[in-house]
Amino acid sequence: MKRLNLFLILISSFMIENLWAECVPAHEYFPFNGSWVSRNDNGEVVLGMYARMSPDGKYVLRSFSGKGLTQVTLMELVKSSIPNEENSVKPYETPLKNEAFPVQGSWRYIVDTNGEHYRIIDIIKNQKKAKPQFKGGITGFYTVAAELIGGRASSHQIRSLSWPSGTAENQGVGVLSNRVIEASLNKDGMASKTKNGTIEFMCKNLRSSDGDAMSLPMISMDGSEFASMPQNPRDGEASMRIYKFSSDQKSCEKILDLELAVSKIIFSAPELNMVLFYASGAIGNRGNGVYFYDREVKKTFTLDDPNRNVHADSFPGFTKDGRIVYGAYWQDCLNGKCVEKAGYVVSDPYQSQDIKDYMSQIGESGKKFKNCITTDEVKKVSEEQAKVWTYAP
Amino acid sequence: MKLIVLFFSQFLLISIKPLFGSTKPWPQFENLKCKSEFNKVLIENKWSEEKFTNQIPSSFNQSAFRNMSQKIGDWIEVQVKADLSPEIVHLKDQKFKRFSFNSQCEVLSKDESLPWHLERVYNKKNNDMNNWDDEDLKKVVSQTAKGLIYYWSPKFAYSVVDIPRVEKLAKRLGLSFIPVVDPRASEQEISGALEVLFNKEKKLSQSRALASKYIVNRNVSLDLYMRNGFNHFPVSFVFSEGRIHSRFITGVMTDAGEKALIQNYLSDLKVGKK
Repeated sequence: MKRLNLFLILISSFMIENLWAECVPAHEYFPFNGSWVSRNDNGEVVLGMYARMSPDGKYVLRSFSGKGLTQVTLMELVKSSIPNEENSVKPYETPLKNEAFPVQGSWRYIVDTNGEHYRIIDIIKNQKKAKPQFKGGITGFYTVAAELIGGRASSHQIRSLSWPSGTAENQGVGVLSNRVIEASLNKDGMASKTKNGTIEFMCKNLRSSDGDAMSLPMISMDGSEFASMPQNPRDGEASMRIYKFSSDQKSCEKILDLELAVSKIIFSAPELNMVLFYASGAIGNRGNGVYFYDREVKKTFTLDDPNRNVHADSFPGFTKDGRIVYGAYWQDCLNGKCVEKAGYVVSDPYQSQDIKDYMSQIGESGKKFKNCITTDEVKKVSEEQAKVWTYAP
Repeated sequence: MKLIVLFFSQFLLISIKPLFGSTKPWPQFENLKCKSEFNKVLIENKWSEEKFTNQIPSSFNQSAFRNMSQKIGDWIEVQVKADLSPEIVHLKDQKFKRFSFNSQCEVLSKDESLPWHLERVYNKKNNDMNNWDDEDLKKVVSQTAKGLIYYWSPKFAYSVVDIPRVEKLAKRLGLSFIPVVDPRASEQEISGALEVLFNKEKKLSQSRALASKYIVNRNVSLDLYMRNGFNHFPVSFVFSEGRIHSRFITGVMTDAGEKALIQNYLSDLKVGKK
């Protein structure tokens, strides 16, 4: 009898937990407001370029976000705790140059284009007076980086990917290369590079099918894969493809061809198995410019909030829990009067109309999608990320 | 560096055999409605032998295909969904028209609004003197033996910095250099970016003169939009023999890499593969 009671208690607590699992909003809006906001001569709010989103969705690393700001800023998405009050965005200035990039996956560091690695806490605290911890990795242009799986504060590996060729006047897209460095935090939380790694030129094994010149590279959150669009492939259309880094860091394994010509794609956390991109799609005006592709069902889905007439302005990013963050313009309407707003939008892809249609129309494979991302899932990622940013050894 | 040169010299030696597009690539759903009427529209308009490539669909259950147009400013896009009748969007004279079928499979046609990416900028500045549209593109391609259209944006810093290098390379290869700029950028953004670029080497007065040369050509060509040259900057289109190569060069490249691609594209255009 006691066992039965215990079983019933366990079952009911499981049911309560799941019934109470609260969904995040389908879309959350963070408008630009404040004296730092600037407009161009077309009257549009300047949102900036080259956005990268932190794993918990708290920060966006972005260039050129307003005239009064430094070239690169860390933009904090601040959720209002007062009901009916708008969320906001708070900029932190940085000493970084355009196209600085985060170490994806962990966001333990933000890296300047010269390879200098900065801690997030130093940027938040000291802003443009922040000092780098160490220099390392590839210093080519359009560089991307990620922390390899299994990293700890005391020892972690960072893979960077780019084209470290030529000079400032003559650099460019061509043969991709990668470099894996190792770093460590000491007992005071200060970081140093412990292994320099070597630059390895890549994908020679695919020259006969994919050609040599790769464009628009992006690394996955765990640094095990990358995406790129061959400029002039011999085996089909010039389309975005996903490759796996091999253990020798040189050869590449083609994993997936999206069979679509898109801009840079962004990877989800590996377990979510999705990629994102910003593009002008088929003629017809459905969606807001942000598309997500599920690698298992091999389908492209759109994001939309028809009530707000949202138009994304640049490429988006995934949080670790699967939310999609992007800069956008939208309308806030009340009693038939609409005001244009600009800022960031955070959307739950599982609550998109396209996924709902898929779940209702496609029986079995539709079951793989959950109904929504829950606040508990977001909280868990947020707590994990906060731990990384304590820089405790 | 030597390694890069070696790779690119190899790159030149490998013959290119493009597999560009295919005819009628859409899924042949058994339950597709109005199949024969759809095929009739394709035949009547001489679209049935066109080659198509995949486009990003507007929803999970749509498949979309765009033709590889041989006529500047004249494009079609076929959109297919299981259980429904196909639709065709036709672009001509800078206007979109959508062909669909009613329940009796009669053809319906109606004007289609501009994609929202374009509506914001195209409608605001319809009469801008700097607008560069399909007519300008036709003129350039028909009246110039061979050339390179360089599509840049002040919002993409590398596309600005690379203007002089690509211009020099194009001229060295005997190509006309035609810069066109992202129509979403404001005039202030365009002139500001160019002034920063030329200020590096020139005095302010000289830089403004140089900059003014590039301010023109605000790209409102829907033909270049249909070629998907809108997702990233810079992109470079190569043309000769009155035709534009269907592949474009994405991003900033080294001289060696870009030269190899341009020569490959010119060679494709010469033998009619593109």
